[in-house]
Amino acid sequence: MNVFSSIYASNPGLTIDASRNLTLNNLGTLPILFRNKNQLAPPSFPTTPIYPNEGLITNSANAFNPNLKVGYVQSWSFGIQREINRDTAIEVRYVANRGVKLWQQYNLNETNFIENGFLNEFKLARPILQPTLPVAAEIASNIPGRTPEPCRFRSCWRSSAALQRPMPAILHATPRPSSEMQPSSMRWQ
Amino acid sequence: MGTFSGNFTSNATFRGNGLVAGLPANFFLLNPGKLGGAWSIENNGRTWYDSIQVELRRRLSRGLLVQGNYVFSRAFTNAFASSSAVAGQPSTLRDFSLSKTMSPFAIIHALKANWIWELPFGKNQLIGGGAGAFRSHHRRMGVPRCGPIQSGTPFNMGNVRLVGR
Repeated sequence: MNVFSSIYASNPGLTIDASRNLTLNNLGTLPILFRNKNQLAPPSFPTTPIYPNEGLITNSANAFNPNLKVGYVQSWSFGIQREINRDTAIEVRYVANRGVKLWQQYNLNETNFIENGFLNEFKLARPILQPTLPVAAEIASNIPGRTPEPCRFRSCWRSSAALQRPMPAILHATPRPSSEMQPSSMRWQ
Repeated sequence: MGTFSGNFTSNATFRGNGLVAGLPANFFLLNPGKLGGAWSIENNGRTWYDSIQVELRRRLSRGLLVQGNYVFSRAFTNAFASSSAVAGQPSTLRDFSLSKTMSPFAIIHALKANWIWELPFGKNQLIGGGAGAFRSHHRRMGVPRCGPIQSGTPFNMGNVRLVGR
């Protein structure tokens, strides 16, 4: 029950405390006597949702699969037992368990970088940056007070011929003044 | 990749830059209005446990009882969680099998033993050969020993880069 209440309580919306206490200042006229039944009952609260319920961009939505089943475990084992002497025995067993249909909560609103083409763009951009890695390692090794670290990137071991390849055009591009940077020039298309 | 796009969506400045650059609001997230996530509890949790167990048993004989066993086991799960909480985000919703990894409860090697060795007191023993109550009770005192010697449980280092690796 706690799981259900905690999951649903995580949804955006207003939470109303239906109890009476001094902190909520809803005790009514003191003292409270047992004959004052209206002061012993829960205070009044709206029973219908209040709209619009826009929530915050950081809110989450939480729900259960309506066909949720109870998880279970399959278990099987077999073994063989042998007598070593009249007082001692040895047994060898194989034991296996399989948990099936166990409850798992996960985010359906996962980050996507495949269908939008971002992954392909990244793969295209990665070779452009690789020739610069040995240069960056060399620069880092010449910083005073910094102990050169062995570079284990595969690209660090490229031949000098590979490093002398023409650099991609994007790395030759002359930086444009910020005044020319229009939003349309930043499109990833 | 996931970290980059996650940082992009969680940072209001980056989101704003993306909109200015012409990216749709849901470029990385289908529902960008719920950065906290759209969480659902489903029946996709799986566990796999297989083990070989060897057990040695010696009944009490000539003052010595021994029980010991060794377990070699492998335990996997597709929801790495070190508690009974149900939350466990798969690597990708496209293929849950990619999330199959060692269980946080996995103990690959475990050796456990306990034994009773009767002290050499009492009748027909080295010490206190005919001492009444001493003979009838104290001879049953032994030296039990139990406790596992086992390998450690795995832990998840998360999305980190191991420096120097």
